[in-house]
Amino acid sequence: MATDQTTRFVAEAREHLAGMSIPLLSLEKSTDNRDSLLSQLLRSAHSIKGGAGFSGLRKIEELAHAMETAVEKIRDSQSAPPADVIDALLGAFDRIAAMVDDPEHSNEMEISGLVERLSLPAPANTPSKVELARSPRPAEVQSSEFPITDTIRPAPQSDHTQLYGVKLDWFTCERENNLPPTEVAKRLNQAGTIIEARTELLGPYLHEGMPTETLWYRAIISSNLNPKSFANQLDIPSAGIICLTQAPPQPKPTVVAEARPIAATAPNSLRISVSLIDQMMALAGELVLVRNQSLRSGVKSDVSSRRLLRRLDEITNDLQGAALRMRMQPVAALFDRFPRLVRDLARQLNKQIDLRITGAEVELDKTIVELLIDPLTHLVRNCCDHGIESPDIRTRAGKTAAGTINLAATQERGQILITIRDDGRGLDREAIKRKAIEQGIARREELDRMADRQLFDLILRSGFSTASKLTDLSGRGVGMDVVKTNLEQVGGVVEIESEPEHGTLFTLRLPLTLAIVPCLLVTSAGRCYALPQRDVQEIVLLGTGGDRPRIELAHDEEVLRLRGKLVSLVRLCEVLNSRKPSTPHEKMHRVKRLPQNGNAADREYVAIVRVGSQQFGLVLDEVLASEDVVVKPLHAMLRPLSIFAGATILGDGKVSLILSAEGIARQSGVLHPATTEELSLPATISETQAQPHLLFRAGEQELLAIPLREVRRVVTFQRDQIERVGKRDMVNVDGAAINILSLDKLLGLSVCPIRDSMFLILPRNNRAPVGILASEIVDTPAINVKLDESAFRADGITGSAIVKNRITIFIDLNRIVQIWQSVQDLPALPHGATDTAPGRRVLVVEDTQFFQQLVTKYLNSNGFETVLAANGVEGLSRMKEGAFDLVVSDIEMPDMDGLTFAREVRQNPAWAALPMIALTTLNTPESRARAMASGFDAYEVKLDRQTLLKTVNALLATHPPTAITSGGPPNG
Amino acid sequence: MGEIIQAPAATLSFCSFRIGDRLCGIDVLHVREISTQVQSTPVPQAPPMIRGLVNLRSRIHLVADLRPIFDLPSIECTPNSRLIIFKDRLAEGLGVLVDRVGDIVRASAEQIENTPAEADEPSPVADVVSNVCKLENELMLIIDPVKLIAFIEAAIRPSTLRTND
Repeated sequence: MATDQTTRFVAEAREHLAGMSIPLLSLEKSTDNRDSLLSQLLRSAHSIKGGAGFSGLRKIEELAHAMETAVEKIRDSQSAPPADVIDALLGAFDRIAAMVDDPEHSNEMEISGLVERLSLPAPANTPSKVELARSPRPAEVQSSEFPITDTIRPAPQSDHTQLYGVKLDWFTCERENNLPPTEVAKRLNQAGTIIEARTELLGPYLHEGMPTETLWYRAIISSNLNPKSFANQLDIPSAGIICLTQAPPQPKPTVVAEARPIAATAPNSLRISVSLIDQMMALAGELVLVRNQSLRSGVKSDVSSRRLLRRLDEITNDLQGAALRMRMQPVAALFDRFPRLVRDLARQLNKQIDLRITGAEVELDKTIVELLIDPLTHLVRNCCDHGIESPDIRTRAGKTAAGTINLAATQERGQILITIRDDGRGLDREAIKRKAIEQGIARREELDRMADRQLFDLILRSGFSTASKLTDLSGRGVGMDVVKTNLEQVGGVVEIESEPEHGTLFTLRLPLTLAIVPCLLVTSAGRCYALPQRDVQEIVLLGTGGDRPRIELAHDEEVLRLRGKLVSLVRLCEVLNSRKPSTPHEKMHRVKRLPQNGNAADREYVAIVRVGSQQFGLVLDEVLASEDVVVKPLHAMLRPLSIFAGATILGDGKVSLILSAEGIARQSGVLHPATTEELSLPATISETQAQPHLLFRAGEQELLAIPLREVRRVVTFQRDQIERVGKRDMVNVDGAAINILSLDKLLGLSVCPIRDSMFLILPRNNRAPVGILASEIVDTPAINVKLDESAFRADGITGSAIVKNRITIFIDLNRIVQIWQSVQDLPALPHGATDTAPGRRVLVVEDTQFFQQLVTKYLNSNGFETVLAANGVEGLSRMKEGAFDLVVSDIEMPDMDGLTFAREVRQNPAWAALPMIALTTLNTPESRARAMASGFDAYEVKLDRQTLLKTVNALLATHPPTAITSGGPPNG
Repeated sequence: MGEIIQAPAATLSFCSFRIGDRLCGIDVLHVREISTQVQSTPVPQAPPMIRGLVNLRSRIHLVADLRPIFDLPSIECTPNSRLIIFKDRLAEGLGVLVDRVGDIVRASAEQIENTPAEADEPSPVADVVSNVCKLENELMLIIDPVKLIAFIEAAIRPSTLRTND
């Protein structure tokens, strides 16, 4: 039921909320720009309140109003608010964020507790009203009185960073402050540079003579002074002053983050859909092509044409550059969540942690920003969890009680560097070596010989963790490899440096943009392909000259000897022709055809390609050139072809395919299976290789497994952190409200007991705010087993197998999330019928509560009246009580299953033609045939709502509605 | 007294074209445009009915070749070859390569028939054709874009590997 209005409100509310989090946190420390922070909070809360009211979202409106009032009280009290007021505000902030994420149900949510906490009486030191009245009151002024446009900026060629709005009444200045207009003017000019000024003269005044009562003057003045100093400098007691900009960052170490202009006050930004930007990029690309063609075709030598072409060239480059920059987002979008995260973690862990952020204005491609959220979060949590020590350990070691985390972004020669530095205890080399030996990764001698950099790289492997305690994810080893894989996806690398007792430094190197990737243009069999340069380590030219490397044979495979090491080879032309990995027989066949001596004309290139930590060689016909290529996603239908990473348009306008090193490696099998666990695998499973899985329990009875690559995080939470919001159970995870999904209802498994400490499994490929409830995390083994798909059948279960002598059920996490989402997408029960099927009655026979709800909700929202029965017996009773137009029935039910039910129904001549649809999770030809034989007219698999509706309508179209009868059909 | 004038039966319009000598049609409401840009970049490993990828105004489109469906060998493009592009809401960037394009054919509902369900053996043609239209001299096979897309997707999905969404 989300209307356009609501969607707009949600988008705007999210922006306001984003701009509120730093001011809220800054309130705890006293800063000089307190006033402007408070004003910003008020403005944001006020806007949310207004927008919510307009959209009929009463609870959001009420809570925003309570926040507004609370902030006003803080403003009036002039002192730093106590911690529980801040906590109440943060709690309200979280709740509003959760409600904004689910506006349709927000009006049902409970907010009275929060409202109460927010309406606690103001702190005792509010100056009494009486005192205020004594001193000459400065004029009341609001920022809305000063329209800020693009052209208004602090004075150029000055170090002015502040804009103030000054409002005064000339008469009052003279009367009360003893300042004649000339003196006032002098002081105004001394306070700063006047950007704009206006005196309010209304028409009738002049008509009757000069005004005698009040003559308002408003000016916008730029200055480099902070508000207090500015007011002192101006020295006009009756003038009202308001700060129109954010104050610059204070050098104090307690400041949480650099302040920066917020979207709410800057009217010169727009929300634009990404597809429009992509369109612009494409058009800019087309223009480049046209330019290239015109450069090639018209080699006119006259000056004016050349000048025109040059001009066209310049403009085209500028346009392309501008289009690229449109996709850039300031890194602040990424960093903003950390002050809150660090604050909460520090409180949780009883540590003192200072977070300093610099370079938040550095810009990154939007897609990269998205992919960095998880890795950065993990690294920051690590710093707080394991890096920074508790205050007494620190003081004993002679450090400051509060640890510091420095989060910085800088640009360096076409790369973006993001660094996370802490001054904590540093990485424990011994612990890493011990763990590596334990996991069989390397031997003691090798480890001792390793340089620090190599040693620290081990941390990034999947399954590796040196933490002794079980914390969120650091203790599970699930986290660090996320950092590595996400980064590799965008072509970035992570470097680790550490000094014991001094701290650790993580450096993330990222390309400026993903949209354009430097590639090598290569040919094979006469066709041109693009190979991303980040995959290529070096290019080797083969040949017959004495010192040129040659292809050799080793174990029936082609290899290249490169500086003493043997590199396995793959021929690109062969990869492109076949689909299945080459069998040993095929390889042998190929090798036999190799000319033993190399022909003089046979010039071939081998690109040494890197995948993960391994290499192989790709044999090419030619390497044409190196080019920056605009990456376009591969056509959706071609996704199964894993050897291609995308497509691009070359200079001649033709499409060229971009190769994927990983895909080629996988298909050709050139890298040995034993080591392919190191590859960061995207979607396709190969059933012959062992995959790491997360083994866990929800209910007592079953052991469950999910492939680790589908898992983003495993979160621990306490029983008392569960919040009931509306009809749902949720938990706050790092400031986001996550819904708790219990598998028992969905998959018919045993119920998960609620203990003091529970786990939530968050899906990787889906950003839906939902997590699977688990009572116990057992292990993360690598499993290589064939799944039995017949024993346990349900939508969301991929199969079962015996793992470590226990029956284990394998869960399809993505499917489960999809199912959850489809339930959420259903509109609430409507009131009144729609126009599709007036008054048609449908009998729904289903025993699982979850599907009962799902199906009836869906049918109701399409105008059908539904009656529910929990099994075949009840179904028959309902049918005797009243007429139905259609029956939808499950197959597997207690007491009387669907097949028997259908047969019973068909026995009755009155119901012989009644449309009946079987709705079930079983999807095999045999079950389908059996259902049809029992008398069903149609067979639908659960939860494909579109086809269900189609079938329902199709069946009803051929059957006229049954008359609403009194009494049932004749006995049968 | 007056005559009751019947509104004409609903007419459908089809974009007609030839594959080899077979006459086919696509509902005009499904067609976004017809392009002369027929040269495409082949995609290795794709089944024969995927001719390749083509650049149309900076968007990459997939070109489907219907000849294999009719058991005809693929041929080089001729000056008469055209690309019929489907509307975006049906399929993202998908077009069909045809040997020559004909006129717009208007047909009334009576001329349209469902393809007979009792085919002797499943044929690929039945997999992409939903209706036939009876014309004076010939039968025009109406290509169903939804079925065509499903057919292509099934052909490309490897049967041995499982793909996760």
